[in-house]
Amino acid sequence: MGAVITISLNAMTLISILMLVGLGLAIIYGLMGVINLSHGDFVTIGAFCLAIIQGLGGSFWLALLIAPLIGALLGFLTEQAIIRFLYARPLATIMATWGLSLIIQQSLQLIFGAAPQKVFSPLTTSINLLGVNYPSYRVVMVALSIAIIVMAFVIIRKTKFGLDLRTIIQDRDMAEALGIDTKFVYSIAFSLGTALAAIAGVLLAPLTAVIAQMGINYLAKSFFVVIVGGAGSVPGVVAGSLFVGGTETLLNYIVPTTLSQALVLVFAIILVRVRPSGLVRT
Amino acid sequence: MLEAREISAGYGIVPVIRNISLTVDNGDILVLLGRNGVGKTTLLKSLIGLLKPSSGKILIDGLDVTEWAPSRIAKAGVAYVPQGRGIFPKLTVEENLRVGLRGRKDRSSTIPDDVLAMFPILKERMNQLGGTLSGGQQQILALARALCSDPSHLLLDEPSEGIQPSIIRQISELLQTFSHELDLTILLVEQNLELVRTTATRCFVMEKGCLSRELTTDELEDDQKVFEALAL
Repeated sequence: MGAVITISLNAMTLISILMLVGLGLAIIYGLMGVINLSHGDFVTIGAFCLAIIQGLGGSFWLALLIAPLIGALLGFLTEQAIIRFLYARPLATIMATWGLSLIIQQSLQLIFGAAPQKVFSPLTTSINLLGVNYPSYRVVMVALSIAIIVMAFVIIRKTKFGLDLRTIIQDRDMAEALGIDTKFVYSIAFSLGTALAAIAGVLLAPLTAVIAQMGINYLAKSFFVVIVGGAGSVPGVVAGSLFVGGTETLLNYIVPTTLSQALVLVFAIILVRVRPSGLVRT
Repeated sequence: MLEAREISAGYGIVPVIRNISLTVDNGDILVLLGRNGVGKTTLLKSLIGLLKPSSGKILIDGLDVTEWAPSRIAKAGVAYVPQGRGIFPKLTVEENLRVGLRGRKDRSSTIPDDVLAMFPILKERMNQLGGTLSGGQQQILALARALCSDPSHLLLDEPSEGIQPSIIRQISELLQTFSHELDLTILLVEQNLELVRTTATRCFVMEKGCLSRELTTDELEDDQKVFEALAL
């Protein structure tokens, strides 16, 4: 019984990380159709923000506030300088964002070195959940992830910005002709996606090695999450994360990690073959 | 007043309309008649800014808007209902109308009551998805959405396309109401002669990317003259 609870809690941890990283990409790739290969590096930027802020004596919670602002600002600049010229050119977008990814990784490595950065978890205690001792930080992270997912859902479904975004995705020309400044909405949406990636970076940093290349791990998985879940919807991100995170955690207990990751990919391919539009259809 | 001064436009290097000059005076319902492929839609797209003219000028009430983005032109008081209606299928009727508010100068975020009063059929279906409406209902929604921006000018591209006769008559009555009671200046691209005859205050015929001639309202009543003008 204890083992089942531990496995479930571990699965929840991975699922919530995937939800956060996938959420930003669901906006950028799922809704806007931009294949952003630098998405993982915005996760890295978030994690490095935590390392820098804690290094300067700031708290984890301060980093959680500042990192998304920095992620949004860098995302805004990226959209203005690169992405906005490439919306109609997916291949060029792949090249450009891949290049940006290399630049971010190498710059971080040049400035901070190759050794993992020091980050500290804000909570070092553990709590008793159904008879199992589990690190409090992980529980808080799961709760925060759920809160952020709900918030994103509300923003997209209920706000003026969300309506503008859903409108543009369906017919950009018509949205523009009705008076929506589509260029502005797209740059804000892209910044929101990178801000979410940076938040994910802060939250997962205490659980992993913070190095310049850490984003690569999350890039492919977040694409799985968005594609398997159903491109472009918040419920899709939740479904995709449950599928990818749940399967991987379970398999990790049965087979070696490398094999389990390969098997998750195999399952994802089968699933997309059977349901091309993903688990949640919009 | 909406004015096109010697505009040429096209897709890539292929010119579709050449040196068109046209003035739609306040209170006019100006109709553009013409066969398929003569450039009527291209002209409307240029006027709303979705297609930048390669030469010439577009003026709204004397203001040069040639280089403006469509969203800015919309905010200057020009509403556009495209061919195929441009309804957002995955937004509800209410959301489709809300999006229409984006072109308002006063940035109001409530759908005007008089618009809802004019279209009772929409009021019953506010939570239905736009894509589930029939063609005629979608056209009514597109007209209502255009009114939500409180425009002074309306560009309409073939509102009768694929719509049953009773709704076409309703559209005709609506356009007359728009013109007489809301003081809307209307540019209508249309091929349905009944709709043209019941609404037009002026009518031009388009041919091969140019305006070939003007038809008076009397000439419009004469089938022979209309067919001649259209070279049918």
